[in-house]
Amino acid sequence: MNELLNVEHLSINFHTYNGEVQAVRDASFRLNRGEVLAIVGESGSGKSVMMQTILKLTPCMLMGGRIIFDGKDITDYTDRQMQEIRGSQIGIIFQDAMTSLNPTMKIGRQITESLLRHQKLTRAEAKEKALELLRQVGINNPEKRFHQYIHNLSGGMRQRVMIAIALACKPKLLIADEPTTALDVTIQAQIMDLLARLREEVGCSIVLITHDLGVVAANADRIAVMYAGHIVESGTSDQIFYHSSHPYTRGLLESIPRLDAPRDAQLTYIGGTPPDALNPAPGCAFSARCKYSMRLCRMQAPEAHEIQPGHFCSCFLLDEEAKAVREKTGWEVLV
Amino acid sequence: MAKYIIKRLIISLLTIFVLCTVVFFAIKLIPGDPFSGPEYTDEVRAELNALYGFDKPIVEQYFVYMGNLLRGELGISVYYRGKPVADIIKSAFPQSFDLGIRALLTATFVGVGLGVLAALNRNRTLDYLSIIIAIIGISIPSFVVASLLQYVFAILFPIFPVARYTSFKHTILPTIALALPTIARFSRFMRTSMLEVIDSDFVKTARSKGLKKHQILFSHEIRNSLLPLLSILGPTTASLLMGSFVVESIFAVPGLGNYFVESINTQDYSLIMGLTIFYGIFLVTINFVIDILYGVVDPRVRLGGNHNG
Repeated sequence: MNELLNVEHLSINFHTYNGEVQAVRDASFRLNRGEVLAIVGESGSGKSVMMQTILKLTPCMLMGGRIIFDGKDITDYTDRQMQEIRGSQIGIIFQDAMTSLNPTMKIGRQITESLLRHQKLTRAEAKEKALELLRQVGINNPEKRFHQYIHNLSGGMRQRVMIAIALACKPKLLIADEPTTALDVTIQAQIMDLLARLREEVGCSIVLITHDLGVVAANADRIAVMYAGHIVESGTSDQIFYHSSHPYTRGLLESIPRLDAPRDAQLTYIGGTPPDALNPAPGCAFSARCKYSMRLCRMQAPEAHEIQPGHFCSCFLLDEEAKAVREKTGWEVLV
Repeated sequence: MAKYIIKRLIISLLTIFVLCTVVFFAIKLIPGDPFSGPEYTDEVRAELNALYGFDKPIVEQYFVYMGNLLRGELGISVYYRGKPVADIIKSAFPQSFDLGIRALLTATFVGVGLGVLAALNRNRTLDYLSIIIAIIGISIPSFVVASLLQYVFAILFPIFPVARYTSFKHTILPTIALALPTIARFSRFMRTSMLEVIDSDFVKTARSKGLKKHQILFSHEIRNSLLPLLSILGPTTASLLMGSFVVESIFAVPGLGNYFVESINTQDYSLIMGLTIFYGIFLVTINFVIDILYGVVDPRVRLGGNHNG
């Protein structure tokens, strides 16, 4: 059994005063043991909601689909059952460690809390372990930090503490929800290096949620691209970066500013705005912004094609019958 | 920390000094004097004024009074002939204090509990119920609540004694009457701050650790929601412990509240001054204690501590 997490046809809604928001629609992906999967997408594409709902941390409703974690179907687990999994088997790091840590509780206790919950330890043993964890995430002078509060720490250190909490019980899966978004670039690199090192030490899989393709390129084994609640394309890093097959993925890649571009060159961007999640139009969610959209795209949602082993893409352009359109618009399938 | 305490101490003393001065001149501005009644002849009045020193120029009176105050003397009551103000406070304060502490504890536990329950049941029956209690507590004046309580629970259903303050049974109705407005305020306050905390990121982190519901509730949610409450705890404590004229009169509790009103009606200069200064010192002290306490429970406001990052 090499598969750690398998999500099939997941749909998630949540209530707002304006109506039902379809945050995730028919998303499927898998994660193998020891692998780093990056979920990429713009703000509001549903990537965080999807991962937090898998942990049942959000008040969202599962509208359909299955979640299989470590061989067990956890789709219908109650909150009480999830408590046993959260923290001990799945850890999560949030974006902003400043607000994600309790400002009035000592750092040490925030770590031991998790240890004492899931492992049979005495307070002294838990403290020893917490100090070891602080050392492991690269915090100097852990004995002193143990008794401090988060306002005594810098942004990078806070995120390190967050990582120590998430990894305290050596989980099988670590969800890193935009772990570096709130940090400056040098600290970002340090944190990503730390995550890579700890992954080796702890031996966990990582789901990295981000909108920073630079972070993804350096760290992910596989990538899933999300748009408006759909996973539009997924595959290995190479497949996505060098053989991207979805117009949205290509648009994203083209939008990365290049250092070697002429100084007066316009930055590339994807025109238009993401669709309204309250009343999604039928058809492909990206069709309204897509340069290549056909009549069919606005009427029917495309199924996922497996272009190459492990490389999935949901786009009608890949269909045999769209050959004429491909030739007319100059769209190439990169295989 | 020591520096902070000394600084606070100096500010407190200054506050009390200003308070004394303002009150001293303010009461002299009230028309009439303690001996303006028709029962006094001009001769007696002059004699009494001379006895209490009211015939001297006002500035001189002020300095004499402040000098006495420095020696710890609050003077002798004008209305209660010959009774030292200090003795009046000493005999009446314990009752007010006792009633106040009971009301404070009741209000804190019931108010906080009600607020927490309301927040946990947001927009459900229990939440609305707590709103109703709060509205009653805030909008119905205490003389109505106190009289109603007295009528229903002491006369219609004689469960509790009507008045006086001698046994535990006597304390229950006045405690409820005195605590109700504070319960209302505390529960609203607690609900708001609790709702804020429930939606905060660090509670999500606590849940992501797999902590049990009650662990999150007590060590994260309630603990953090209590912090804003501390800032209104100071003035509330002072006003509850200093006695309420209304509740004390209705239940015949021999506390300070009565003297406050009476001293002003009778223009008992020295008693007004004594009570005001006593109240002032009390309020300043309690605020000081609360500030220190704040630093203990919320490390972010710890002053003069080491902030190294």
